[in-house]
Amino acid sequence: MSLFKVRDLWTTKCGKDEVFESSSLLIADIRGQNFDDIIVGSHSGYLRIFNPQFDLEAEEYGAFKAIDQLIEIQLEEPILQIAVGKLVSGSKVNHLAILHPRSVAVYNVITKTGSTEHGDQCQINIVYEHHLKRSAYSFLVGGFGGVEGRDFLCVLGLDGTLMFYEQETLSLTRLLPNFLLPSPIVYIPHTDSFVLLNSNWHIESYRYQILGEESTDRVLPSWSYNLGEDVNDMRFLSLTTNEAAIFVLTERNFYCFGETGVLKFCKRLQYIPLCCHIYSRGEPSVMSMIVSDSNNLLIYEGSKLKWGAQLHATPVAISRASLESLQGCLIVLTEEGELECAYLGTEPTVFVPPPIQNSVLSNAELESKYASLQHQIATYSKASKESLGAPTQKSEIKLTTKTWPMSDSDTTCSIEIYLTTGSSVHNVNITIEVCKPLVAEPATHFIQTINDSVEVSTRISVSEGDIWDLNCNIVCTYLSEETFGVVSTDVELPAKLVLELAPPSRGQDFSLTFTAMQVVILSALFSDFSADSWNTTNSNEYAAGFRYRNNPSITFTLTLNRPGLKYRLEGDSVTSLTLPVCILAKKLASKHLKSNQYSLGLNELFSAIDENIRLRNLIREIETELRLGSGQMRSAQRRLLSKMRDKTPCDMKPLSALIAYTHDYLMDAAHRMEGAQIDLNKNGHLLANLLKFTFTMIRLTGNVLEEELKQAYEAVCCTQHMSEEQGWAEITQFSLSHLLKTILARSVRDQFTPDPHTEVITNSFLLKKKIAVVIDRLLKGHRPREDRAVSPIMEGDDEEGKEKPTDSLYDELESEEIRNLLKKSQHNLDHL
Amino acid sequence: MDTFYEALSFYRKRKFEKSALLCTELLDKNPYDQAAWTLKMKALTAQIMVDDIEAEEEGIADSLLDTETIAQAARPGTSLRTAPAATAAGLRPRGNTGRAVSGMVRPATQSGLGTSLENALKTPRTARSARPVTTHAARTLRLGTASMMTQPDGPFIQVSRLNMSKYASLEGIAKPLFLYIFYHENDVRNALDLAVEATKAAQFKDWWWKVALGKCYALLGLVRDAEQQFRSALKQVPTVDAFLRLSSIYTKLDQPLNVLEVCTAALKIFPNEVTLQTEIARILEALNNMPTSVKYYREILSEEAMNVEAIACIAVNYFYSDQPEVALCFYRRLLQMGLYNAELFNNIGLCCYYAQHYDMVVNCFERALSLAIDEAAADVWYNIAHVAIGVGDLMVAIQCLRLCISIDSNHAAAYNNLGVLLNKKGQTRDAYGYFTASQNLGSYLFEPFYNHSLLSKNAGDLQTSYNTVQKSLKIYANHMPSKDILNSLEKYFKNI
Repeated sequence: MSLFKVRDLWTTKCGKDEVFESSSLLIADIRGQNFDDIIVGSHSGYLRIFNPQFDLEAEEYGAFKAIDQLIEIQLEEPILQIAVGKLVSGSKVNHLAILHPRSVAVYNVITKTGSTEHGDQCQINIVYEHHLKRSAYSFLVGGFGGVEGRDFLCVLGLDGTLMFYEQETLSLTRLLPNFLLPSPIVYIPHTDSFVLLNSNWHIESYRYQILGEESTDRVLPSWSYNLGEDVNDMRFLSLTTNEAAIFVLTERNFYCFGETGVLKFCKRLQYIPLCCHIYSRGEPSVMSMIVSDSNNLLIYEGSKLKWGAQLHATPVAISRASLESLQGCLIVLTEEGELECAYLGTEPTVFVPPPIQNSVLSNAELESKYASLQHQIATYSKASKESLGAPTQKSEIKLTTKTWPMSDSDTTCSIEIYLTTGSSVHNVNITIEVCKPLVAEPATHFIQTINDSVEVSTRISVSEGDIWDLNCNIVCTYLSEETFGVVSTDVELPAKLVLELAPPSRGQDFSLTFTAMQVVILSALFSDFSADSWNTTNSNEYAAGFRYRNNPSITFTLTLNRPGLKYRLEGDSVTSLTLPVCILAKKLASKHLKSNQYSLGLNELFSAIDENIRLRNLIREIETELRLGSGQMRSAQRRLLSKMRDKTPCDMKPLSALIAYTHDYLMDAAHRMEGAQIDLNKNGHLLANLLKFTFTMIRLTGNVLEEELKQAYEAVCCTQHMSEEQGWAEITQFSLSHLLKTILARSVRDQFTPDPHTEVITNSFLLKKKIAVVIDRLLKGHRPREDRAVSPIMEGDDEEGKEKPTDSLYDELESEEIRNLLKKSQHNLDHL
Repeated sequence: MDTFYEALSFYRKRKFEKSALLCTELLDKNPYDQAAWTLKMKALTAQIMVDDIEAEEEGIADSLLDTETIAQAARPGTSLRTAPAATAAGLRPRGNTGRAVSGMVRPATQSGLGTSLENALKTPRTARSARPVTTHAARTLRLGTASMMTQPDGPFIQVSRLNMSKYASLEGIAKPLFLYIFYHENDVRNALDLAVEATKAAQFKDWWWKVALGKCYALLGLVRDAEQQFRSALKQVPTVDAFLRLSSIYTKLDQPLNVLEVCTAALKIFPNEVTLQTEIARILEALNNMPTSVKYYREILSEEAMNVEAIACIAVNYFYSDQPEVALCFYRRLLQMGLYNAELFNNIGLCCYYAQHYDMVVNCFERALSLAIDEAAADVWYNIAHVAIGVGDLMVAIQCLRLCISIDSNHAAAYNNLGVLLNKKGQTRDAYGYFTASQNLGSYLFEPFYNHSLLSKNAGDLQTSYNTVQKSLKIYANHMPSKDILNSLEKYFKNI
């Protein structure tokens, strides 16, 4: 990683499949021309000498030209190392020394001046050759022993022998002590000594003189430094005439020693160095080029990094040459023989990141894509929220029911309930709910665990009372592994369970007329009654009489006027008509059954409400009596106790009479209480019956919003609710007020009417009026009447205005019929 | 061509496998060739040897089953664990281990603040690696077994059958053999045996063996013995290596002041040594002494202008000192140098955003996302969320944070921010949940505690508010808004 790149100047490839290493490259002025040649020797024995020439002004200066290569010659032996020195006696000319594995040879380089443009011709001639007794590792050239003007050779063998050749003659062979693996070796002329690494990883310096002394058995180093690391490369640089620097490059560090073994500086490298070159840029700066394993060329001055540049290839050797056309050129040799002249470009090669793959869309496209993604996210998170929430639509249990057909003699109806489950569920509770006179036996089933499927059955029978609803609600609750679940279903019980055919009769007290778009004949409507019973009771397709099986005296008659598309229902009482109305409404729902006689049961409803209030008032009265009576009883008993404890005997009779009287009084009150509560219960059924009738009839008028009707019915239908403080009346009043404020509100004023006080209701008038208003508004449908909201003037006749001047609801009753009914019931109450 | 010469040549060119192959050939011919044997040993070692000073990583076992810990509640400034929080201006966010974010991810920055077993088990565990780092020894042992696989004829040297005292006295073989046993075989005990014999044979005069002993002791957890060996070695010959190893011993012992002392002493011997300066700068950074740390990083840069770590750390410091433009210059230099990864583009994007070069922001983050690997993408999304918040597009911010969490489910800061945004949207319930998640994942963050406390206070849950704000102040004692909440609550409780 570096800001700069090394710039190519000139490249060539030396041979094919030849192997080079760091000692294969030599930069030297072999021809005495005051500029350097590049000498490369390969392990295959090829010797090449280059003199790159390039005109920096020309455009294509980087090309290799044949003229740049002075010589290429194959020697018989592999070339391990090349050196240059004045190696021939009597000659001051530089000669080329070449180290082969088993020999060292000295060559003479001769240049013949050419006459043509081909240039000069170069030849090398062998001057002398020494055969080595041992395999060579490397060699050194220098004026050992301080000789001037000539150089000697020193060959380091693989086994640690130093062989000295004073030009043509072998002068000395010395075995180095403590030697195992050969290491780089340098010669320091300042101290006339050889520096190398011994096997114990100490750097040792041996003086030439001491090596030469035959007498010593064991040569001792002049100095030694415990380096503790294997050495990659060792270089020497002469700083001044009496100062030298030894550079040691190891795997992790870069050391610089003085000529006497003093550590000058040390730099820990944060990379693995491959090769290095040391040079001096004149006094006193010492420059070192180190190539890292990531092909970075780092140039230090001392220990300070001066430059970093990226190389193209991984080099084995790097050097600096003063070429003919360029001073200080960088020479790089790779293992495969790529030879490169290069320079350090100062212009940074700015790293340009590759373009991103996806093409840039226009803003509009991006916008629409973003919007669609947003939508996807919104819908996805909604779906996932549903899947995360506890109760889900999907239930583990599937509930199916089957109602067995009844024969004429049957008095009960049996329902079979099948539960099938995909996974294991447990604690299954099945509850069968029916309206009061109907009795389910058993009413609940409990099953510990269901693995596959289970089947239970329940019988429905009829007890005393008015029957008004044949609906049967089956609820199943269960626990599964993670969660709980509820499944419910509604079953319509057969009419045959509660009704039987009777002779049709005419002229009963209450009659209702329905119109329909299409009519269905009666025998098809009540198909579960057998043909025999139709015949025996004189009932036919157009007229049929029915009676309740649990109370045969109550009958009703249904007749059909086929051409007029009309049904007529007659009965003794309103309560007896609820069931047939419900059945008809359900069965003929698709035929647009209609009737506008919704007010038929209102009178009964209002009187039932009055009765309800009266009974609750009565119950409260009896409660007071009971409280008083029991208080009296307690005090009488206390008195009796104190009298009994009294020492002086006295007459107990009056007291016992009082207790007997109180007891009777209490028992009487208790009995009346029981009666009142039974009555209230009955009244609850009656209310439910009438409410069902009224609301079904309201629905049959056909101009009611289904949702409003449902909510209104739910507000009033809890007739069985019993508690001392809160009865049906209180709950209904409260929920109706709420309805009137919310969905049934017809004006802004309505929305701000205060909540009724949650007191015990003793007067039924307000409640009845609320019911009347609700019915009225339901019938009128959803028609907001903003005009009324802005008008502060109360409308309506003065009479009612006098009666209840503060009541704003009263005058809203537009339906004359309801108003009259209400007035009548009020009148009745007053009369009572 | 001589085969042994070729083997040496390959070794010099770092072709260790070929070198070892040639040595095997030589050894087949002559099994008693010491030079070939040693060279093969060296080649095999060099194949898998790594610079173990940099690769130091403290595992759970090292940090927890450590009997050398001196003080659990050290005085402030004398321990890396109780390093005082920086001032508000230089407050840096913390990484997933709870350490303040540094410019560069290093092995040591991954280790958590192992104050308790629970913490130690939790912190280094990320979505990337389910297993926390156990011990150094265990890790290197795995490397060792892997290297055995490459030798079909069984191990080169049967270490258990070596006559240690004989080889220890063989100069020239003992040191490579030690390295072979230590690095290649990872057999620390036998390496220690050899080192003990060898240092005896060298009459305790060779510093190298002392360092070797120190390395073995350090790995075996005998930290004090290692310290003694390193000190003794340094007395003989000071080396950068030994200084660095000694300082890492002190880091392990949680004695940052000793590290600084050792490194400063070393710098007198090796002036301007980059590795030593780096060590000092890192320790100062860990002590939250950012100005001094940056001063050292600057010195490194003047010595070695292409030091990536120094550039990155200085850039981070500028960024968190509200000078994003200057930080941008440094990051741009890194980019020019050829660094090309998600983290860099992410940082450039952030700098651009804060320096108001809005045209570059989207581009940079796009690049960062296209380059991001694994959890880096989580951080990039987290930062994009910041930009989105700045732009005011809270929907995008929320989605960015959700993406961040979907990639890295342990991103505590993202949970906290998501909580804040949801609270702003009105989903206060959800916000509570995210704050709690954030608190559980990042016990080093004070923000979720503060936010939780603030929400609870506004909701009237004063007791919870009081409890959480105390936790917030425990983490960051100088947080003024937390203090305000605490004061007002205390006043209120007193009135009651």
